[in-house]
Amino acid sequence: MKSSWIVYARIVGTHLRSRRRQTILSALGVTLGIAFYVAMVSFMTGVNRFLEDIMLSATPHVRLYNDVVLDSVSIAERWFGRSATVLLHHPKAAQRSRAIRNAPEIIAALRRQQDVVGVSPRVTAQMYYTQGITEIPGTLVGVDLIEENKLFALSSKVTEGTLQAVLTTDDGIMIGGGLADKLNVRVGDRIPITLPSGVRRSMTIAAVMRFGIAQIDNAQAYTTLKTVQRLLGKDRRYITDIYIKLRDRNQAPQLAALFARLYDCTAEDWQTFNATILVSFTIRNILTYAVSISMLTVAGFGIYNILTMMILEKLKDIAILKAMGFSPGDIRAIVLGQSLAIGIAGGAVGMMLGFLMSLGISRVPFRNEFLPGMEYLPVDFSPIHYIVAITFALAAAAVAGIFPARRAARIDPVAILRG
Amino acid sequence: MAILSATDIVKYFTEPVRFQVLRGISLSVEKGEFVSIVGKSGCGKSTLLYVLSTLDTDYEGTLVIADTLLTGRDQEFLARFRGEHIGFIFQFHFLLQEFTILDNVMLPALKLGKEPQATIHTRAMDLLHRMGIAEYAHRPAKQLSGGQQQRAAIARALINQPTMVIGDEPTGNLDSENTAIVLDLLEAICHEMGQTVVIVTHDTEVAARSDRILTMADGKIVGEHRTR
Repeated sequence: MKSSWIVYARIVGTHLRSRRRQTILSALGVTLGIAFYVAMVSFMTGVNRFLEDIMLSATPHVRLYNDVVLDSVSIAERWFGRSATVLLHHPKAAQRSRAIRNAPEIIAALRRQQDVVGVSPRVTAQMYYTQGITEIPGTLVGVDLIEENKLFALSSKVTEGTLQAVLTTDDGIMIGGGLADKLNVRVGDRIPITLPSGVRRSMTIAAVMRFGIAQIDNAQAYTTLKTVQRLLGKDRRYITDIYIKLRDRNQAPQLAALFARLYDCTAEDWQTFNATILVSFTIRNILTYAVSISMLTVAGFGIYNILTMMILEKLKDIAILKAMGFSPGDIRAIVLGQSLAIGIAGGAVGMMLGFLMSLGISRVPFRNEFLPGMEYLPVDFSPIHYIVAITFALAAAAVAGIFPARRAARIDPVAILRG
Repeated sequence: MAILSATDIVKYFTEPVRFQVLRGISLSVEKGEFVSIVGKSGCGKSTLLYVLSTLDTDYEGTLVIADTLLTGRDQEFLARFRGEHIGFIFQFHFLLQEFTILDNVMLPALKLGKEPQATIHTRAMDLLHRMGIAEYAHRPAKQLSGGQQQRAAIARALINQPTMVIGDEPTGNLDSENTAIVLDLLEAICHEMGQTVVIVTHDTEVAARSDRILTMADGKIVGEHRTR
């Protein structure tokens, strides 16, 4: 068996060498297909990963909160049972506290969980920033700044001032960069805010932060838990959201369901509240694959053409080989071998070219004030793209080779040798 | 002892119309015999040769070579049998043009894979020496003249020390000098190396050099003549 392969390889090599130009051209088709595939997928994945990291840098894996719910079963219905007819007009959502019940106990329990890396409680309050006569709506977020910094690397988002200053300044807040620009305020300035309850207070800007996410940068300000609780006139048990980071973020949906059940509140996983972004990732991936597969299909047709031509030209050789003791299976293996050799050679060069192209892309400077942390176009260099690429190349070559191979195997040597 | 025996070989062509080419041919060939089949073109002699060589499997009757029944066998079996037992020489040399002469000669033995490459190489060079073309061993086949290529083809036919050598007009395309060389070689194959040779020819001088001449007409053997 082993000697067979050596003979096949020799015949494949000689035949391909004797038609060097066509062989190189058809391999070039594979090379370009694979190179573009590698470069595009690496770039696309790099972008997706970068955006995902940004997204996850500010969002928890699971968020616990109390949703506003409309009881579908009225008290009257509950009391009289199903047999009674209850007419109830215009039911309204019950006046429920936004606070999570038993929040401190839930936080303590979550911290003991194996799958949980970190827990950050927060209190959010709607408010207006007042500047002269204009009022800009926004959110004041009270957080445990130290815990929050551990989970979301808050200090890396600070562009002016420091996190420490927020803690040490009386009524100190850290406001989003977009908001600071809009209000034309700097660190050290004071800014009056108004809560829906009518409470007004003047806050001191201790730091400015930029996440690269418009919803945060243009609307939010961070301060301590205590500050917000005091503004709202609530006690220290008043917590509206609990942000959770998990050991494995892919387990978020299952764990969210578990937490919702355990702690009797609403739990949302990051996949759900970022569904649209994830869909756009998927669509971008589909596009990349579609383009690459069409390129490889073209390359496959190139291989198919050269093999078909080669067989027609080598009818005599095939007949001689059959007369000399080569079986139809041997002939099939030889033609398929030629196809795979073109695929492997073209694919290998394509991977190298693709790597160089990816390297080139990753050297293109790209700065954007909305995307802090990005200096060059992001490229993902993981080997999986290369493994997929060579698999694609081999598959395209095998599919392109199979029909010419079968055709060659069926050639009747008598008709050709008799002339 | 018969090395080849064919019984009641019948064959039809279906293109362009159904036509009986071979009408019940039976023959047997002894080991070490040099047999030539002669006849007018269209008498079926080449068709018979391709049946005897196992390349053509579309026939009725039975074919036994070297005590092996070959009728009704699959292509894989026949391919291996050909590699081991049958050497071919064609009218138009039919070497693989891009390969060197040495590669052409070695290929059937490499495919058979029974011996190490070094042994095959040595035997191939011996055969090329015998054929008088050893100096061209590393040249591509296409650079050689017709006569030289035909001698290389004979070396290739002999590389696996086949039971039988089958030739379809082996001298049909050669000048008289090369024809003489080829005939000497074929004679030597039989009488010195003990291999069996069956050829088809319409050259009576070539036929006269063989041990036995079979004459065919209209798909039948109509005459048999021993030259010695």
